[in-house]
Amino acid sequence: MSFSALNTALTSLRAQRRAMEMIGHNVANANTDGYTRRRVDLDPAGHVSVGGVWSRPSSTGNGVEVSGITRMREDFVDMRVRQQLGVSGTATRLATIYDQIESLIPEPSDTGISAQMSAFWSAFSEAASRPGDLGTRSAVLSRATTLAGSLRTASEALGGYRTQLQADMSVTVSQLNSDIGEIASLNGAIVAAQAAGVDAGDLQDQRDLLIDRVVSTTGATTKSEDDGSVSVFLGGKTLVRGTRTEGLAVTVGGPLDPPLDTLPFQQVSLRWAGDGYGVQSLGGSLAADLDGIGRVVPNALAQLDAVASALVTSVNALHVTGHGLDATADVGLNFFDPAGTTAATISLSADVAGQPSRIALAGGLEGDLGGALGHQIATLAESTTGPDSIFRNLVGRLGVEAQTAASSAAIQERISGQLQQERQSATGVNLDEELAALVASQRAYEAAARILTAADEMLDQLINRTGVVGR
Amino acid sequence: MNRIATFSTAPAMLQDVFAAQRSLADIQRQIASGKRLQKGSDGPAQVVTTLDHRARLARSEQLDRNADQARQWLGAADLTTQTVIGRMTEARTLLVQARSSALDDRGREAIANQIRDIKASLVESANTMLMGRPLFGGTTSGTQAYDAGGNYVGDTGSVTIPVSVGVTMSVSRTGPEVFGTHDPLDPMSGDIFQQLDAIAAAVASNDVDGIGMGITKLDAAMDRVELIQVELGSRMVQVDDLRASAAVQDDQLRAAVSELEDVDYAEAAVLLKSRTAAYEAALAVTAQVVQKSLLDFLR
Repeated sequence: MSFSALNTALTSLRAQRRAMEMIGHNVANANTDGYTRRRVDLDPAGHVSVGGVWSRPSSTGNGVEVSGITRMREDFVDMRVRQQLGVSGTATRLATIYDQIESLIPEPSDTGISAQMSAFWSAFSEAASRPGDLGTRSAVLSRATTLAGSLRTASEALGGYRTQLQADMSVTVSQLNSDIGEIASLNGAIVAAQAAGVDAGDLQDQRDLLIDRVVSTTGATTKSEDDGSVSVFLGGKTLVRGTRTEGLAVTVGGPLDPPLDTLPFQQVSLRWAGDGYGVQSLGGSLAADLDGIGRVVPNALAQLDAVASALVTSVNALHVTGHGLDATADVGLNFFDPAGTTAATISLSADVAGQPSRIALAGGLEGDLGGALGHQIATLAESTTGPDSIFRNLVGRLGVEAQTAASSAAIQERISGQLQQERQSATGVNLDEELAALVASQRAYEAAARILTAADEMLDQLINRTGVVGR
Repeated sequence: MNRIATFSTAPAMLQDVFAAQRSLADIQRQIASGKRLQKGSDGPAQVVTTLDHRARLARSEQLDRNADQARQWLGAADLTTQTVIGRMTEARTLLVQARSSALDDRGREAIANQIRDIKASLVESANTMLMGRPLFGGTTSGTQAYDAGGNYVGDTGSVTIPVSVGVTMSVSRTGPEVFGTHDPLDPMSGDIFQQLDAIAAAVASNDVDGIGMGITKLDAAMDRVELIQVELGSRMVQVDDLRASAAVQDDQLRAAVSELEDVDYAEAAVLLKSRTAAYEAALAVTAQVVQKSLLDFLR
C-alpha cells in the first residue's frame, strides 16, 4: 500500500473535470457559427513499461491523463464542402445578376419596350390614314420620343448596373484581401499555440470560417500543412502560405473582347497585387461578377443596341425616300438622328423633332396627302428581321440564360446544403450526446472521489489504528 | 451520417420552410397579378411567343382601324359613283328624247339647260369631300378635285391602305379615271364635263350626228364609271371578308396570349391551397424541432 492510489484518484478527478469543462464549452457553443465540437482525449497514465533490475513496476497503472484535445473535423468532408462552396458561389451570384438584368427589361408587359414599339408602328399607320391631320402626326412623334426614351433608360440602367457590379466587386476583393491577411496571422498564432502545447481549437474554427468565405468568393483550394498552418492556393499561385500572403487587385482598362469592343465599356480583370499577372481558374462569386461585368451585361446591352440600330436604320431608310406635307421642302429627311444608332444615343432627328408636318408619310411620287410610305413604315412591325424581332430574341435569350442560371443555382444550393449538413454532423454539437457524456464524467468524478475516500480510510486504518495496542 | 448535431437540423429545416414560403409567395403573386409569365425566365419560349402574338395583335388592331378607313373611302366612292351614274342616266334619257321627238327650239334649249345642270351637279359630285380631302383628288393637299371650270386640279396619286397582313389596297380613283381625260382639241372625246357641254351644244343646235355621237360617248362613260363602281364595291366586300377572317385570327391570338400568360384560376387556387398547407406543415414541424433534449428526461 503506497500513496499512489491517492494520486490515481486525483488524476481522475482532474481529468473528469477537464472533460466536464470541455462539455460546458461545447454546450455553450452549440449555436456558434463555425464552432467545431471538441473532445478531451483520456489515456491511461503510463507506468514504466520496462522494469529495472531492482525495481518492479506495480502491476496497476498510475491513473488517467489528458493526452490532448481533438477537434471533431473530417478533412475529406471539409474538402468536398469547399469544392462545392466555390461552385455554388458562382452559380448563386450569377443567378442574382440575371435576376437583376431581367428586372431592368421587364417583359412581357403592357408598357414595356415591346408594347411601345407596337404603339409606335400603329401611330405611323394611323397618321398615314389621315396624313393631313397634325394631331395624328404629333402622336407619331410622341410615340417615337417615348420609345427612344425607354431604350435610353434601359441602356442607362444596364450600364448603371454594370458600374454597381464593379463597385461590389471592389468591395468583395478588399474584403478578400483582409480575410487572407487574417488567415495568415491566425496561421502564425496557431503554429505558436501548438508549439506551446496550448489548445488552438477556437483559433482554428475562426480560420476555417474565413477560409470558407475566401473559397466561396474565389473557388480557391486549401492544404493543411504539418506545422498546423493552412495554405490557400488559387490557380497555381499562393494566396496564403504560413504567414505570407499575396492579395488580389481589380484592374480596369482597355476595350472589351470582340465583338463587344464597340461598347463604351472598359475591360475589368482580376490580377495578383504583387506581380500583376491575371488570376487563373478563378471560381466563386468573383468569377460570376467578372462574367456579369465582362459578358452578361455587355451582351444584353449589345442586343439592345442592335434593336435601336435596326429601328433607326430601317425607319430612316424608308423615311428619306418620301416627303412631308410640303413636297418640295420636306424631302430626304431622316426620322431618327442617324448619328444615334445605339440604345444610349437614339433620338429623333432635328429635321422632324417638334415639326409633325415634316414627317414623311407620302412616297416619292405621291401628292402631299399620300400615305403609302407611312403605311409601309408601319409594316416594318411585321418584319421578321426588324427591331421587334431582335428585341424578342433579346428577351428570349436573356430568359433562357436566366432560367438556366436560376435552376443551376437551386441545384448547387441543395448540394451544398447537404454537404454542409454532413459537415455539421461531424462538427456540430449534439446536446443529448454532451449530456450523456456529462453524466458519465460526473459519475466517474464521483467514483474517483469515492476511491480517494477509500484510500484515505485505508491509510487512516494503517496510520492511526495500527500498532496502538496498550496505548 | 450517423450523428446529428442538435442545432444543424434547424438551418436545414429553415431552408425547407423558405422554399415552401417562396413557392407560396410565387403562387400568390401569380393570382394577384393574374399573370403566369412575369419575366423572361418564367418560360423563355412562351414569353417570346407571347411577345410575338402581342405584336401581331397590335398590328392587327391597327390594320383593322386601317380597314375601317378603307371602308370609308370605298363607301364614299360607291355612293358618289352611284349618284354620278344616276345623273348620267338622266342625261342619256334627255338625249334620247332630244333625238327622237320633234322639239322646237325652246324645247331643245330646255333640254340643253337640263344637261348643263346635270354637268354642274356632276362637277359637284366630283368634288365630294371625305375627311377634308377631295374624294377624287388623288393625294392632293388642295380642297378641290375640279375647279369651277371643270378642270382637274388633283394629282395622279391614289390612296393606298394596308388592310390586312400582306394586302395593301388602293381605295381611291382620281378624277380622270372616273370622269375621263380632258381633251382640249376634241371636247367629245374629252372628260364627261367637256362631253356634256358639247352634247348640250349639239342639242341646242339640233346637231343630230352630234346627239347620236353624244349617246355613244355617254354610254362608254357610264360603262367606265359602272366598272369602277363594281371594282370598288368588290373591294369593299374584300375588306369585309379580310376583317372577318382577321377578327377570327385575333380571337385565336388573344386566346393564345391568355393561355400563355394568364393564370388558370382553378389550378392556381388548388395550388395555393396545397402550398399553404405545405408551408404550415413545414412551420409546425420546425416549431417542434429541438424542443426536447435529454435534459428533459434527466433528473
